[in-house]
Amino acid sequence: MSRTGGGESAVVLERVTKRYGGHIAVDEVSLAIARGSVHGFIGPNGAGKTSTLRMIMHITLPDAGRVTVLGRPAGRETSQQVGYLPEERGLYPKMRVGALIEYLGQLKGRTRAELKPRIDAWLDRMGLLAWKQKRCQELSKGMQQKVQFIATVVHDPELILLDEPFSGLDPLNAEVLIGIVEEWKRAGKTVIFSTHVMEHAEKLCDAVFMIVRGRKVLDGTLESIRARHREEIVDVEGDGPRERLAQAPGVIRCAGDGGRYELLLRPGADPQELLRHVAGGFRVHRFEVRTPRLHDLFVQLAGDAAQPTSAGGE
Amino acid sequence: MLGRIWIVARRDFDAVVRTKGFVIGLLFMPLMVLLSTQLPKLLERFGERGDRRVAIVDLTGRLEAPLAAWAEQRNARPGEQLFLRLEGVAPPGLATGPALSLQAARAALEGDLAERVRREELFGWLIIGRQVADLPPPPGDAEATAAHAAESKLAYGAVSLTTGNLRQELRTAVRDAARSQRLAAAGVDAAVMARVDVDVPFDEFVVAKQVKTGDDGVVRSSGMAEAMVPMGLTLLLLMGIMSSAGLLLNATIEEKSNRVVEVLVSSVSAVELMAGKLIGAFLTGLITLLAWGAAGAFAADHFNMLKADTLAVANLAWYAWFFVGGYLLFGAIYLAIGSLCQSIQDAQNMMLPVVLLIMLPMIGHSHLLEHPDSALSRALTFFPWSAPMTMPTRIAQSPPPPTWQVAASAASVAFGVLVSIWAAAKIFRIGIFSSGKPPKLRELWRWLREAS
Repeated sequence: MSRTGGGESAVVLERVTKRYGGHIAVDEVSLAIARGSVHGFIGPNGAGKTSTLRMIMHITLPDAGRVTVLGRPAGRETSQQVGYLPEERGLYPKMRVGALIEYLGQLKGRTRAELKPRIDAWLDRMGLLAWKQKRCQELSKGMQQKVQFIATVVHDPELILLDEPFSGLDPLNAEVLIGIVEEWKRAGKTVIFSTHVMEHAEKLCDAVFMIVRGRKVLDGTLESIRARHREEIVDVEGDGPRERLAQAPGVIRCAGDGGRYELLLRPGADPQELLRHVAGGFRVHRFEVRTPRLHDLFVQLAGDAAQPTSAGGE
Repeated sequence: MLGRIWIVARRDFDAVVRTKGFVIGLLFMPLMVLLSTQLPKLLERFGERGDRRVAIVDLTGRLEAPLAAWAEQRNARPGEQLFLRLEGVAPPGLATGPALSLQAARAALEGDLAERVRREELFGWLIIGRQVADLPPPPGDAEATAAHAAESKLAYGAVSLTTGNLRQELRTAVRDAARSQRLAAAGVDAAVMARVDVDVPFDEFVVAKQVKTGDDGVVRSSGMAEAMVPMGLTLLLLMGIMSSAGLLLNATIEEKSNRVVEVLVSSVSAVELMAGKLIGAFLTGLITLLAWGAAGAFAADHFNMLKADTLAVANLAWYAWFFVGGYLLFGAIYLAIGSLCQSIQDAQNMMLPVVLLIMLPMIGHSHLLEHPDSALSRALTFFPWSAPMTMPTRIAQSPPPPTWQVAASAASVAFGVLVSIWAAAKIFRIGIFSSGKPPKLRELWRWLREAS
């Protein structure tokens, strides 16, 4: 399902492939990200999230396929309208906070006069105005992360890419960031962020894109994904042999031990039948049927893709 | 694009020129020049003043008067603050018999003179051997020659043999006075001798192979001065490359280890970032070189080494071309190396071949000066990575190389710069995202062949 082209998409990838030597980092990925949406990039470490983001930023070029950003082929000019917070991020230790943000804003094509009020406003909002003239090395790690964040968006970009923005943030600062992303969402900006934390993705995203071993395994709005993945999850607590659960009818996978288990059911399988089977040789304390959360899909899809015989979810 | 390059250049420039290290480096040379030119004057001001009394025992009986005249003249020198007072001490028994030997005079007088020195009545004493003013015997008579030599010596004693220039001044004064006496003994008029001593000048001319019309094909050479300018420029280029390249290396490794670099390349292309860094480092290097060059010129002028005809203005443009070209050739390589390394230690290993490449033409410099038109010299001036260090030397020589050779060398440098920057950009672009050990040559080659 590749939705391509068009003015409605902020970013379009068409059969994009990126290789590093013999390793395929991104494998024929197609993707369309709607303007004004918040899009989550999820996937295990080394799956190809950062490689994809770098190609959108025109930092690296695809070996095959096409990347369109804000209606134009990805290039130096389109990346000027994008704010990018890389996963590997740092500051010049000896530079002063204000000068550093101004420098990075200037590189995005803004003048000093345009930047000055915006820098002050952002520093004020993040509680860093008093630190404007301090050297970056004098700031705490949390403060440095805020400065990096301000530098990413100070030029008021239309599209914002955040690579693992929550990593290393304490819960308080993570909340500040969530608040800002929600604000952007209301203001109609397009935000793409990669994350390991599925709760963040579920809370913030309109849509998610999951990549495993370079291949797209999941893509769409959260509703459409839930509609497509109608497998059910059953949480079971009780005493008895694990095999009784694992070999029960309709069970695709059985995780957990020590009395607490999580069973994944085949689409269409009947939980009542499962309950009857389990109760035959197992002392059940708790039996709860629920629809899968993003976290469950993540574990399932990442696990499937890791097995060579059943790669990919499209 | 130019705007972004300039923004990067300005930040890198600012980041360096505001450090203490840069300011110290900048002021080092001018300070040294100031010290070397002004210190002697300053020391003079703090130098000793007053009288220095030296006892003169003249066993010849003929030198005391000319020495006294000389001392008077010496003390009257403008700005002189340390005055030499000569005190004639009569050698015992001179009036009654033949002059004492040097040894006997020392034995008779030294105790007394030394005691006076200790009491600070005297600074020192000088005994002039009795045959100092005599003409040595003609060659052949070894015994007479030895006897003369034994008695034509000076003996000097003082509180300190290292203080001031007094000892050397006295020695020269006695030698000059003795020379006049010896000339007179040989029947030669001192005035005639002065005329005999007039120097024989040595004028050099270079005969050009091809004579232009209205030109006699003979060019006056200014000798070594001509070779000094390109030599100095080559040294400046080397210093410029070494210091600016060091900056580039450090800055790139710093950006990589601080993880700033990915933020940067999301706004500017790798080529823009490289160009900005090259220009920034070039400008910082240029400021240092100008300060050092000005200090050097000031020093050269102070010591009367600067001649108006030292520098051929027509060649300046060529010098500038090779200078900038040389900087870019090696600056780009250093940048690429910086992008591959996680630390300065990594970089040092990779720099060795580059440093050898830079130093190689310097090793061949003497060959270049002696055989400017040999096959090796030509090869060195046509190879892009040695041309900047060798062509300026050839241009400054007489006869200069044919224009086509200069142009070809300049073109090869331009070509080399393009290749260097192209290759460095490719390596830089991949290198800044690399981690772990620097790649092997084979891997670099693969990077160069890859499209992006």
